Amino acid sequence: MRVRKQRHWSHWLALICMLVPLSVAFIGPFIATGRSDKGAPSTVGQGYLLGTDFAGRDVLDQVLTGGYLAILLATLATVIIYLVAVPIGIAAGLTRHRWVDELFLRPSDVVLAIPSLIVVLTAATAFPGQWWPLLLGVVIVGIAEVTRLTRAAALEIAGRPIVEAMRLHHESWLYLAFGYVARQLVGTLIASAGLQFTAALALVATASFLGMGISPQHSDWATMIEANRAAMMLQPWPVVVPAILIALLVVGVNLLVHNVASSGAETRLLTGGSNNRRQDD
Amino acid sequence: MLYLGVIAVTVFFVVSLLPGDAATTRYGADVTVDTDAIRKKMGLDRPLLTRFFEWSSGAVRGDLGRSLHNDRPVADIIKDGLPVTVVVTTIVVLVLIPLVFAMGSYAASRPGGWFDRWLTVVALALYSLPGFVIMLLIIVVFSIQLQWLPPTSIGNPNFFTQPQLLIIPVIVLLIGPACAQARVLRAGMFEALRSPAIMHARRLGIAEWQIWLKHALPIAAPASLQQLARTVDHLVGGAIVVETIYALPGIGLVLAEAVRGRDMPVVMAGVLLSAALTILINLVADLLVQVLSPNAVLVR
Repeated sequence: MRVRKQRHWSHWLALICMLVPLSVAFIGPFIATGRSDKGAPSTVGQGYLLGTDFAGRDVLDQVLTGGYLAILLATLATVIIYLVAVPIGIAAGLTRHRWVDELFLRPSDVVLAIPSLIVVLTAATAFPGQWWPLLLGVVIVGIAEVTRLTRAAALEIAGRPIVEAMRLHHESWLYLAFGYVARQLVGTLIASAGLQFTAALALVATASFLGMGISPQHSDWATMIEANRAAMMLQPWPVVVPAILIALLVVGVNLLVHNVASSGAETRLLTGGSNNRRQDD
Repeated sequence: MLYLGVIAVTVFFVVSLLPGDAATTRYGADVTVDTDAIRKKMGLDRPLLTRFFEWSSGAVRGDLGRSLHNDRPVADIIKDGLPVTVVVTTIVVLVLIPLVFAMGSYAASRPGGWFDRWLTVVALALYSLPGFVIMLLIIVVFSIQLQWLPPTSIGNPNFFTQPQLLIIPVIVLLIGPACAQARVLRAGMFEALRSPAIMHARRLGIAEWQIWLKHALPIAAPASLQQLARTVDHLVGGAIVVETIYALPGIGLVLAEAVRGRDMPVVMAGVLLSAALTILINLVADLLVQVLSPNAVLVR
């Protein structure tokens, strides 16, 4: 009972953590005043709720308009990563030819041996100011990770007697891969997608913070933090507010993943899901 | 070595084939500079294969070339940046190992207790928090508001006379790996402490500390050891951010500047160094797994 009460509380905490930055990011641009007048640089107050940034612009306006791009890029990257990596991972896990497995896995080994931030920064600096090379860098790193994860999970499923039975019944490879293995992987993949999203967001934000991601011409929380960092002793709000919003989003998504994964495990335990699966096999 | 070769070829050709180069990155916006002449001076006008064979034949002999931006030998640039990064990351690893063992073991010994629940939630929540966010929030609270810690380093830091400069970088680099490793070790210790071998050891009356250190840890450690390579990725990425914010003249700062300026020889050296470290740590982890659990099947 106590655990359930705590989980209920944890669900709400995760939702609030997520909803605050998401609301600011996606509703914010519609309620931003878009005022063009500029005040004194890096001041607190003076008619501005959160003061002004290094260029004398309204910090609140910058916060309201600076969140959506990084979140959209991280979401798009996560979707592309799973669309590409899951079929590759399943194919690598199901194949009986060692060379096919090697063909799929070795490129991801090479990518994973290079620090992910370097991959993303290298891609992003090739076309400065464009958003798609940044997306490409994040996708390359993510595909390498998710391919390995999917392949490991698919390998375990591919060894089950039911898969052997389906092979003996000459079920098509497509049915085997997507009709059975992919369906068994859904829980694992949903849990990992949340973590992959936060990892993608962290990479996009870090690249932008280092001046090699989202162009400084766009309003963006990470570029805002970097641009106002030098004056944060005088005016901390342009650094603190976007930093807290990014932190809340990451913590919220991770907590939600944790809650979903735990309730899934609890449901399986209560309904005897593991036994059912064994009977299926 | 084969992996390093493949990584070298991949990085060299991918970075070279991308639009722009060191000359355009550095002087592209300056209309008064003849970028073609600069490109020729940097040797970027020669065929890609010639440049690669020149670089690789030098690298095999230990000559990593010269920086395209300041013409300094890359080995010297790396040598200058190495001490700062090595000191910070060594302290991180030295704190990480006992911390992870203590947190993972304590949580596993009281499953469902307040610390176990706290560790699970906090570790998962903080795991992928961007390093710059953590670092700047720490600086705002502890350096600007409370004025306990320095907000940045000035000049060439001396960690022996100013050890306080290490506190924020070490904490920031520690959080991600500690969160990931503590959860893995907790899961391993949970299984290990309930295994028949440990039950039997308890029935034999072996001291609890001996059971934990000599019997449970070798069962639990392999999964955690196999995650160590991910720690390198975290530390390299973290070093770039931490050294940029704290103005520490380490490898991370060198690498960030090299990537920004498309300084190919420095990028190659940095990537190969971290790839070699990743491969080395994987090998050491595999060896340790084999020593601790000879029956373990290594799956990568």
